[in-house]
Amino acid sequence: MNIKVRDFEHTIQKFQLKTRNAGDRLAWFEYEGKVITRTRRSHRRGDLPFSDKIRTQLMLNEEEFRRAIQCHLSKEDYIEILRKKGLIPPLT
Amino acid sequence: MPEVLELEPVQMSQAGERRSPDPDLERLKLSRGTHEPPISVEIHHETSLPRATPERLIVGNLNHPHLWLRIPITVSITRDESLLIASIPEIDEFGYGPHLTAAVEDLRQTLIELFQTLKSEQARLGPGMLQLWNQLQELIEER
Repeated sequence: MNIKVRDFEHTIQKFQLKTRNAGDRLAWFEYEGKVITRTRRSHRRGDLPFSDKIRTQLMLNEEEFRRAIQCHLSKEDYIEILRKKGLIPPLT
Repeated sequence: MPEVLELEPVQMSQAGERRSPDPDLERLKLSRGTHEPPISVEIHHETSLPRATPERLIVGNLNHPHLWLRIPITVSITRDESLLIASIPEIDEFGYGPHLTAAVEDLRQTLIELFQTLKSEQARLGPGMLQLWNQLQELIEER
């Protein structure tokens, strides 16, 4: 599945990833002060290559990634996915 | 006097297209004059040329004054549109570029930046990132 730069930007804004511009645009997701996932994209315009790598770095499967791009996955949904994968501590 | 050989394609349609069901196969009739029987020649065209880019590559150093690879890394090389991607599937990391050298150099820079970032943030890494930091330390040492 290929995504566009605007899809990437919209998704990281929705999940409230922090960003930094270096050679690439770096983005990482924090939860309760901990760095949970990280990804990056090139500064090129239009379609992003290697979007599959972005997906795996965000710890999403293809269906979850598709829903995220289509704005059908909220930040809370993303946190729940990461929690099920043991990347975020379970609710007590 | 040199012998004149004439080559003519066989099974031509009116539009000049070969009728052969196999587009990779070209049949020619080699005529050597009126008294000699023609010789049939078959030419097989290779449509799948061998890959010029390797599927895997061994990277032995990071070209950095203080960060060294403990062991050579096996890097997977794939193509995505016009870019080559050099990736290490075990740690989900990759570099890219218009050619192999650029992709591998980008991967080196990515590993260096990732190592330095995780090192500076190690006190607040989640379990996934902590695992990645441990994997990176098995690959990279600081001197």
